[in-house]
Amino acid sequence: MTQIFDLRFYGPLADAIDRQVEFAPDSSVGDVAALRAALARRYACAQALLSADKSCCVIGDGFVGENHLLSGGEAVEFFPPVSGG
Amino acid sequence: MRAFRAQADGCGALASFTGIARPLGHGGGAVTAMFLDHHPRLTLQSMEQIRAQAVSRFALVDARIIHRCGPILPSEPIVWVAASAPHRRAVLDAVDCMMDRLKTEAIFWKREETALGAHWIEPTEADHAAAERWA
Repeated sequence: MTQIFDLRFYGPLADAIDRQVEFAPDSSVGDVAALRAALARRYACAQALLSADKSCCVIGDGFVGENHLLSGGEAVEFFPPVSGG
Repeated sequence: MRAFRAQADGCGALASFTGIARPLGHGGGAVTAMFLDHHPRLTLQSMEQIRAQAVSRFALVDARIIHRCGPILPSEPIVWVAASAPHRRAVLDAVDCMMDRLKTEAIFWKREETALGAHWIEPTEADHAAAERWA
């Protein structure tokens, strides 16, 4: 079954990719790390910002780690470094 | 401020700070506009956490944070922070603390637009050092 993720981006990531994207990876992804890698392949211009040391992953308004398991259909958000207020 | 003061019954001290968009950017060039991106829920949550922790830490009667988002022009206000307490040291420290933490922890993304183009900015070393004072 094809996985489709509802992705939201903020700040410079929104500029580089888009505000919201329905993303179907080329091959199945099992966790956040794999989703990042798939995104970096699709959006090479945002590769640096998509790296784990540059952006955080948020699911259900909670920050999740690289090993967080994904099944497809989740709404996943990526936060670049915050500027603060 | 008037409304905040009206609710500060019995307090001996009120303090507030207003942050204003500077006309010069981080690189020294003239800023034509700023854009503040935010998250629909987590931005407010991050601000509320900063406010609530200040109320607890400084034994405040009350504290408020109001922060704009979206497009902001030079010389426009961006943020307003206020605190009330029985004595002045608490409110002065609380406002200072809340601002230092807002500059590094609040979930905003800030883009400066200049004649040379737009760029997203991150907290400076000075911002981080200032926030470290309260750790």
